[in-house]
Amino acid sequence: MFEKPSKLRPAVLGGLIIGTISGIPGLNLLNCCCCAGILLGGAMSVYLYRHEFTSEMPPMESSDALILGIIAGIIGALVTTFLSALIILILGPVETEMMRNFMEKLTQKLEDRGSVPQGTMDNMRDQFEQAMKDGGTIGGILRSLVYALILYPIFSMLGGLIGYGIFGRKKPETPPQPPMQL
Amino acid sequence: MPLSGALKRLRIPKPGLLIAVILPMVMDAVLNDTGIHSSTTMTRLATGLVFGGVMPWCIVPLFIEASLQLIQKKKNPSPDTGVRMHV
Repeated sequence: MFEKPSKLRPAVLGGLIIGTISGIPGLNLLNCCCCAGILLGGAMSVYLYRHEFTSEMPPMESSDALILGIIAGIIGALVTTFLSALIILILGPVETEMMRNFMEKLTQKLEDRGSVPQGTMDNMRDQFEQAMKDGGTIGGILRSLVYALILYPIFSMLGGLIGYGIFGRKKPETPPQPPMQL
Repeated sequence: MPLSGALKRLRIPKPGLLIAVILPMVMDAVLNDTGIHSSTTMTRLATGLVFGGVMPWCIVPLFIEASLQLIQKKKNPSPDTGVRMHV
């Protein structure tokens, strides 16, 4: 029997998908929907890995999807941080600026309606200015890398498992094992 | 149906069902963003409830299955562990 295919290529491609979605300002708003971009990257890595299997190879298992999701998440975190740092260096803090404009409009509306206390917008503006200052520093980039290295593998792993549930499963050709009872 | 059984029975929903619960939520968001239909709190609540009600029955058994496979692989390194849940 053949060995299973290498996980590196699909994991790198999944990581690049995560990095592109999460690193490009505007496109990364997709992650506001329950980290959809990261889930998608994890699921895509499983989909790509599934296509590398041939009939001679042992079937794909959920542990493969789990590991694949984690690797894709780690690569995605690195790519995102690199891309974000590059965009900050070239264009400045466009992402934070964009978010500030959006949040200011939203907070102004809420303040006018009386849904949030007066002065919320000033506090928010101060926080965004602080974030814009920190974003360009080495410390800020390293901090975002640490957060990304914790969060991205978790969500990418979940995406990988969802991807395995949709694309990866195939009924085994050998007689199935009795179900496990916990 | 996923909601009718206990989590420990480890029955993973079929791929068609997973797609069927993801699609309404995605459609609600996409149609709202494209301006074809405006998403309301009720549509978001309904599609999110359907998605959130089924997803744990996919993720939790698969996570347990994957963890058991990794433990088994550590004990007995072979290409196929044979650890599988109901499909």
